[in-house]
Amino acid sequence: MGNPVQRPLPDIEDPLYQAHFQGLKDQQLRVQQCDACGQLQWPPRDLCKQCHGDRFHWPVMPDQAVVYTYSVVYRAPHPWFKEHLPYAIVVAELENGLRLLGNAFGADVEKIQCGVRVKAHFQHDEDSGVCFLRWVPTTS
Amino acid sequence: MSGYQPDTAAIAGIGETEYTRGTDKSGLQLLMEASLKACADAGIESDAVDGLVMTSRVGTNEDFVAGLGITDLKFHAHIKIGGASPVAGLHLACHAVASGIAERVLVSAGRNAYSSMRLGATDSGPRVVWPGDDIRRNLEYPYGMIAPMQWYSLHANRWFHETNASREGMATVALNTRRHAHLNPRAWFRDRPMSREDYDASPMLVTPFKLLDVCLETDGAAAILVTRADAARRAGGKPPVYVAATAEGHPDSPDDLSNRPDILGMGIGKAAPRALDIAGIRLDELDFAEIYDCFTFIVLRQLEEIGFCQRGEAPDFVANGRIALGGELPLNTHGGLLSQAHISGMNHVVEAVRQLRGDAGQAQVAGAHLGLVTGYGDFGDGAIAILHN
Repeated sequence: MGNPVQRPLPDIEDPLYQAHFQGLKDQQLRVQQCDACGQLQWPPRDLCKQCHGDRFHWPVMPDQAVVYTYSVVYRAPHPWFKEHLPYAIVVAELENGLRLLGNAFGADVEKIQCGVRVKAHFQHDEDSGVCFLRWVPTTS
Repeated sequence: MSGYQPDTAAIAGIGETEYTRGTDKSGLQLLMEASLKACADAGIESDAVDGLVMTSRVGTNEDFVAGLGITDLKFHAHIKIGGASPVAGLHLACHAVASGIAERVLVSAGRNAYSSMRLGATDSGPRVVWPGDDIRRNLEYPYGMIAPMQWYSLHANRWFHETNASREGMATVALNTRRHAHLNPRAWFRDRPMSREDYDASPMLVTPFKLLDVCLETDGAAAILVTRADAARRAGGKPPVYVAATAEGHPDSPDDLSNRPDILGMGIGKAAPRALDIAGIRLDELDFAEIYDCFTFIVLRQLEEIGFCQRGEAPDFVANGRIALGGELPLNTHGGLLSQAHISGMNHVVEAVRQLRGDAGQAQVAGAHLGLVTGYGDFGDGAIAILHN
């Protein structure tokens, strides 16, 4: 039988990402915004790419997005994903242009296309204490 | 101004190990073997090497000093932009000999990738060191985006969406490259045919990549010895292959594909105009091209970003035999990473030298005078070299 395989986990205590991961637990998409100039940026960086400021806050983004690009995976690059094949990696673009990466699982992953509208779902894993982002197509 | 005058530097020597899948040799032993061969090919003693550009994860300058018996190392550098490193290494070596900080610069690449520890050798997760480690670990690995084919598929799927590029292009590149490997006794797939049916039947790994769109994993190493062109001529060995121009380029947000404003943008798109300008040539003057081919699609994308055709048109550009031996632009005449070996593209540089020496055997391009080599690495870094005889 052996031990169950652990999904690759992020470091939710990483100071640069902590506010984002706490946001996911609170069912919110939080990204980095520069205190000085207001630049939104993702992924988070030590310095603002626009003004090089180093103080940030973490506003909540809308949970609706459009698929910018995607990938449907048929061969698992890590054993945890084997039982979830095929799964999709979805890069979804918010209205403000920021793109956040998440998964889509389930029977209809092969219907994921660029331009499809998606909504953020927050999948909490009790064992690890990590919340993962899923992008789910909206039926409309 | 680049500060580099065309033909200041030359490739005076090339060396390759056997390319295998399975070896008892360490990565360092393979690197030394290729390096010693490159020195011998250039007609110099290995202890006279005075510059090193290293592009592999194994091997320090001290290892090379010990292995080659170098007595006076004047310059060394490590380049870490994945598969763009060997051509970027050639770029740096040319400027090093042009500036005079060293006279005999060895650029090496290689690994025992098949026999040791690359992705796929075990099943326990990422093994390759990528830029932006915190981005990878926090935002990508947890979502099952762990392997190069997955990252690059994001680029490929957006390319298809934006341009409606024909799906035929990837098959053309796979089949053409395999046919060229059959002409090369040093190619791993020299005896392995690939039919269109084989390609179509190969399993989908990650959309849009089938197994036969993906390069080999092999053990082996290759190296080149770069000197000033006048010194190479005086040495009286094989005719030097002149470096008309080199350049390196990096995409926007080079450690992050997802938020690159234009995900189709690549480093080679910035590097190619620089190199063409320095060399003073047009693309239609080229006799052949050795284009980095970790995936079939990335060959198509480089052709477009270099400027051979517009975005979305590469599948048509490569059709009808244009990239076959005997065509207008024979491409990856050695079999490439797809069908010869994965030596991070240093095998592309070696093949270009063979072509320009007239030593390419059955794969020889008739009248080869001017050739192009590219490298592609990490999340879109690029390097380019224009060589001639």
